[in-house]
Amino acid sequence: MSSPPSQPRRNFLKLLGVFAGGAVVGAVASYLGISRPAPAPAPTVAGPSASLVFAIGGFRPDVVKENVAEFDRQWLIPPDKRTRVEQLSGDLTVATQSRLAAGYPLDIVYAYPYATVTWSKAGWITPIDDIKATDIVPYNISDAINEMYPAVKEAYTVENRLYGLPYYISAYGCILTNEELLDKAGMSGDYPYTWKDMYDYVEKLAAKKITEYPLLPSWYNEPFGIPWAFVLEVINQGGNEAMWESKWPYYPTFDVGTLAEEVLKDWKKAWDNNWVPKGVLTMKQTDYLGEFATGKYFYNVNAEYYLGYFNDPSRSRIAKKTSIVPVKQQPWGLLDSCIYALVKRPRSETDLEYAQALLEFLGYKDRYGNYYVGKRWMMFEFLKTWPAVFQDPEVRLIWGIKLYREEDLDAVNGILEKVMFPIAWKAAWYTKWNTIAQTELPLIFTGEKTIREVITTLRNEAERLAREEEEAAK
Amino acid sequence: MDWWLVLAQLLPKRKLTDEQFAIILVIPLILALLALNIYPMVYSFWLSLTNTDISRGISKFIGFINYYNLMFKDPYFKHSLRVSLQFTLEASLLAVALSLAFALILNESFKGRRVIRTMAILPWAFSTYAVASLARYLFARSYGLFSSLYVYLGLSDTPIEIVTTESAIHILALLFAWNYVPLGAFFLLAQLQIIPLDLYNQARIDGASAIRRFRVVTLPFLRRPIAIILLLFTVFSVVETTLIIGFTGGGPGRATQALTYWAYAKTFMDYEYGYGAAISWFLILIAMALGVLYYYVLNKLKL
Repeated sequence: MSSPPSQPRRNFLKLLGVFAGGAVVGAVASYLGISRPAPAPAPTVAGPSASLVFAIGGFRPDVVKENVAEFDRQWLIPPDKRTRVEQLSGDLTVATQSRLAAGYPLDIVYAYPYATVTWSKAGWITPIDDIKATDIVPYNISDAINEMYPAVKEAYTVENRLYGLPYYISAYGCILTNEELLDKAGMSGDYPYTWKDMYDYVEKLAAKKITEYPLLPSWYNEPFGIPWAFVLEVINQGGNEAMWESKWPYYPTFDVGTLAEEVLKDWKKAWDNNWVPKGVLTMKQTDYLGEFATGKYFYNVNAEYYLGYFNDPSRSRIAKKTSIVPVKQQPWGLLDSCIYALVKRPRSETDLEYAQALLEFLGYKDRYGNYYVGKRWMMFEFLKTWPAVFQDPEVRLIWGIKLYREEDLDAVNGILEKVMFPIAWKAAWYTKWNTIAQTELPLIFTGEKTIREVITTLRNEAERLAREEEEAAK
Repeated sequence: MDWWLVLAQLLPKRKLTDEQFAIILVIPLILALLALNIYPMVYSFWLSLTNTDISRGISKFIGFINYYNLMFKDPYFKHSLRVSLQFTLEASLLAVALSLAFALILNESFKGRRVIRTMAILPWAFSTYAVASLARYLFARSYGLFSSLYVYLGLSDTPIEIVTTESAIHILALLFAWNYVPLGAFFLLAQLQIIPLDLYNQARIDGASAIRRFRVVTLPFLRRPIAIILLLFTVFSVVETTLIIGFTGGGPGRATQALTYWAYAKTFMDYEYGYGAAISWFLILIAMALGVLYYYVLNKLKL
């Protein structure tokens, strides 16, 4: 069995040493006034005319509030005009949309790809690609765009305009590995680099009879479970064009006899040969995570985000044993992401600049040139934003210790470089089709429908929905 | 001047009759009912007559088209209706039968009856979502209690899949019954407590067996309460959503995709509020129809 690259005790001492060293260096640097890079010049006006408002959901409001407080500190916002964080309850997109539609005064909102399309067309959010540096706004957005992962740019560009900066990005549909079991099977370091390869490897591993099921596929019963699993395997192997046309309303291109059928044949083979647990079809996401955390599977199709979860000893039996297959031949997964979008509403020039500054602070860099917010999300929650954050020494140190090996960070970065955005997510019909796919796809396993019948239904429904959307727009 | 003083001046100066005074007292309640019950119901019915779809930003009056589409065009309607009816019948009948059994047991005198009575009400204290979450863990294959028990007892070498396409709906009905039986049992128990003991004694003197005593003495007293809890459980099970979404999410496959699940999916996953409201109103009609049917059958059987 190959031992993990770093041992806990040594790591602890290493960490302790770095922190102690950091504290000494920090104290000296602070005394000399060189603890931080020189900030951008201080704003010449004392804050916006009223508090900026940032609408958020229920995820880690504590971290968000600390981030926003740092913005207020760095931009010298007076106490009576401090940025207000408004926590919305219920479905975040619906709650945000109803406020935007009602003209509720918000400045920054979270937006997912489809909401970005709708809200931009409704004139509720404003393009950000022409933001220029001023006394208040520290960066030209073109600097940020050059650093952005390509899929993020694609997902949030509507009619050639970019609508936000990343809150988080994740590649959903990577192969996570149980290194302990792979070592037992004598296949440590030997990875499948395509989906086809993965099913071949699963067959080999099943023959070794080390575990009951070698694979835990993401066919669980959630909107982002089995429907996304289908979409990502098709587009990873054949590109977006294997699923749908490249232009709105994105009519389907998949059909019987295409790659989509091949993917479902692979699935059926895995099901019929008992390579996957039958109960996966009723699992919710929490059950699904708990299942792989038992350590009974070689492979798990999941978001790279869950590397943090599975390598956490308080949550998983395979902590420090879960790794990820890097990109070598084909991309892995699809882009699961969210951005900070700037709300369009009447403001003075100064107020607009403060709102733009907040957007840049949250979605890009602070006034000192640090990826302050992105780094915090990475440190606390393993949420990714910018490629450069992966190179941050503290990030590498912390996650290098927590993960199976430090190189997994580079693997994740490499996956995000190539991750694909399903282009039809920009259409209103996609969510409706997704619900149908969630119902239809399991039927190939329960025997209620054949693969061809399911594909025909999915294609017909995609065509009908796209046509309805096209006709409604006329 | 304060508003109530202004209001007082506007009121007639003559003395109010008792009826008028009573009406004034219930006005706040009527307003609350209008705001909390009537308005949402009327609004949801209005919504069901529109094509409101917030993902597309449309909302237009279309009459009964949603109802027509649901019954004649939706490819998932027939299946969902069958699942709903199966679940409703199984769950409500099972809940009533178990309620009756528990009520009869709790009505008997035995040592520790108070403790048992207290414990018996506990399942009702669980929220439906908690029941669903608990059940997910109890029925899980890898780490669930039942699957582990199966292996422990030597009935299988490997953990077993309990929630399958065939069993899922029955397990849901069982969970529903488990959750609601205390309500029914205590409802029936209250009625059992008022049956005069003399009647039982006389029946005993006449040589009536326990079954006959139950049929001729107990059951006539329970006829109405049983009808009421059957009706209640029918309505509760027809509209049961949390348990289905929380436990199976409509799966495996579409084995437990009841109409409530479909209404949820159309409303909150597809954002088709108009269509979702139409499904909900259709469910109300089913609940009413089943209620009338039960009542008719019970009257016919003279239970």
